[in-house]
Amino acid sequence: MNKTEVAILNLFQKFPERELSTSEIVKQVEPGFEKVNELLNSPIKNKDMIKEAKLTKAKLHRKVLYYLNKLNYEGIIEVSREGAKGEKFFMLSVSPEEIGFASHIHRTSVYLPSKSISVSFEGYEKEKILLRLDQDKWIERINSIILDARYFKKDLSKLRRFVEMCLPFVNDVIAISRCEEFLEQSGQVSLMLSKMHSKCSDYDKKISFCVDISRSENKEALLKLIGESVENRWEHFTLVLEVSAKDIQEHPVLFEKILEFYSKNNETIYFKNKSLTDTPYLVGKSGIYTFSETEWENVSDELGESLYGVACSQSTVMIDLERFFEKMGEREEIFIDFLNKIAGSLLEVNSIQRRRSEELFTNLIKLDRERIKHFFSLSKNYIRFWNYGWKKIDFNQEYLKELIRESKRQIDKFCIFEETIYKSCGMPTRFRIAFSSAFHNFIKDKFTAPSYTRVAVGGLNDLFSDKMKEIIGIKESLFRIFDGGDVMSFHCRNETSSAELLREVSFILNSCRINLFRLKFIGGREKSLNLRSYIK
Amino acid sequence: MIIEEKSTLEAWKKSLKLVIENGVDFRDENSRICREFFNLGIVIKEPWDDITKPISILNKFREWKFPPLEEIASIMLSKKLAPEYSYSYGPRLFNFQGKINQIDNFIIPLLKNNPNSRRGTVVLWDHKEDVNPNKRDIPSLIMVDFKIRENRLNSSAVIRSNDLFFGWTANVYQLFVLSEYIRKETGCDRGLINTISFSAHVFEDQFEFIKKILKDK
Repeated sequence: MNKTEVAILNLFQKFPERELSTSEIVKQVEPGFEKVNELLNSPIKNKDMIKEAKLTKAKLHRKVLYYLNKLNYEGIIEVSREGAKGEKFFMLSVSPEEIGFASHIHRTSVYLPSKSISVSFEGYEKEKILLRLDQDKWIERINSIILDARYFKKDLSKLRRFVEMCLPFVNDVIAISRCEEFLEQSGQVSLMLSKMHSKCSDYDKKISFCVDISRSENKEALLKLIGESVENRWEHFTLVLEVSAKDIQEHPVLFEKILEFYSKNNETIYFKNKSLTDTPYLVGKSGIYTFSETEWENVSDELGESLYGVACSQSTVMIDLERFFEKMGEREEIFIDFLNKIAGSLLEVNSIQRRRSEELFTNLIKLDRERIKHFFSLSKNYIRFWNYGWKKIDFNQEYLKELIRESKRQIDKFCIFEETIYKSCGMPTRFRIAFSSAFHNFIKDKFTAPSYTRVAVGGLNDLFSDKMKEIIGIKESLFRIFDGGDVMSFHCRNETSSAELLREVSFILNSCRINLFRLKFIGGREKSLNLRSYIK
Repeated sequence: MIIEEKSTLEAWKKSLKLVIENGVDFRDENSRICREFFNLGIVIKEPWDDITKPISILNKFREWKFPPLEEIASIMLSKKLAPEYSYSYGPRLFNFQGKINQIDNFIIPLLKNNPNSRRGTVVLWDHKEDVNPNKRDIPSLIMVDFKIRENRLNSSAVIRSNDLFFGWTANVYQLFVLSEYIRKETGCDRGLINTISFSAHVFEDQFEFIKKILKDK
């Protein structure tokens, strides 16, 4: 459809009851008209310029009139009357809702929604209550992708090519699962990873490497890889070790060495408890991403065989709950209404991404056009919370859990309705929204300062304390509500012995229902805290 | 059972009432409770007056967001399959199995040359694609038939599984858009729209909204 035609229809949709003169319509839909008028009314008169402006004005009139007559002929608008000098006045002859349909039945053009949308939460953005991940490219990029190493049949160059092709379309993280596949080629892995890391660094994206230690034949290669990544401070690289308590029992020396690498270099180490979950965890800039257990199970047979990877998340918004409640009051219905607005906008974004995918994700589609629908078969959107108060002193934890749980129920209901609507309209579409938490590093300077109490633990014994049990209990229940994945951080001092650290890791793996946790090591300056480790 | 009404809105309301009052509940493949009525025919005699009315009503609820009319129409009229969809009505009609344009190359010339023909039937069910027990996303709209009688273009659709609350409103609109496309080429007048739903159903989580709509005069 022609631009002018769209502009005219938009104008009538905006003022469905009004009668509009041709001049008024020209003024509204032709950006050049204002300039011409300015020239004509200018106090400095230049004959040639005036002549030129008059010609342009007449040209714009004729152009708009052509489309007005066309829409009149198609029965979308009608001439309501003629003015004194014969100027035509127009009115809508269909209902505003019918504008789209009425214009559509006269042509079979493909409906392509605009790439920019006016979201219903811009006010909250101005108030710094809400933040979009990669606002400028909110629609053009997806958040996270996972590739399966098995698909690449140990061909590291092919993997690198895929990662590099995916990078421009992703705004947070690319993860590679089953990386133990590559570890046999120890020398090459480090070299290739260092290249991939440098690319990720150029694009300011994260790369997650998921390794199941029990499946890894070449433990030395793993140590070498860890050594290089830690010593070279690959900020954009995260290794997620998929372990069970049994793995630790079987390979204590290996784990002690790994912990030593991280603690000595004050780097963060991630452990996924594989006894609790089979789904991979992706560590992004904004937070953690993961999949639903059942859905992951359904696709895992295909992954690595005929499918190179899947998208995990399409769009993300982050909410500062402390600021929200401060400004809006602690009222559940307002909060749920706010989330519904977000859900509506996420739906719109997903719809645009779907309709314009050929143009937006060209390279992703090129990678495997046949299976691109499977590529998006597990994707969802994220709402991440910041300062949601679970560690705040005197905060009613039950209220928090119930509020988040109830909001999730409402959001899930909305998603089910949307999937039903789209499917029944002949557009089998996936639309899901997951909840998770936001990382401090990503939102600092944008959201409120972290307002939670750090609970100190002086070693393994502290993990048994009532306070710690309570904190872990809350976190465990949040893990169940935060279906988009979450992580619990344990801050440890770098002087703690690896053997002691390993005992703590074993305890967490054995006793806590926490799918993903990380140990963050604190260096010398923090020694004044007078604690050996503490939980953030 | 056939419901015959002059307007789209009345036909919709009557069929919803019928299913709510006489449908039988069961749990579907997705574990959702569904109230179903078999073999329901719905005839709208003058659909052009209010074909989008049910969608406008659905748009008033804040519990969901209905797709824009352009997007609903585009599903029926665009020939290209968006990469993420496992199927779409437009490609099945205009580019069936990647080679057959059932509308431009069959229906339109057929009805232009033989306005009284009984052969104006197109199918959207592709046995090559859809006869697969593991495939969940297959079209609900199976067949569309066009007949010109007394210079009016009448359109009928066979729908195997039809969500009467959300889906039917879009289906009749899509059917109307398609028939307008054909009517423009054949130069005949608007006729009735008829749907035959093998499984006309509504979901339990829609009941409260259906009741609200039925209450409104």
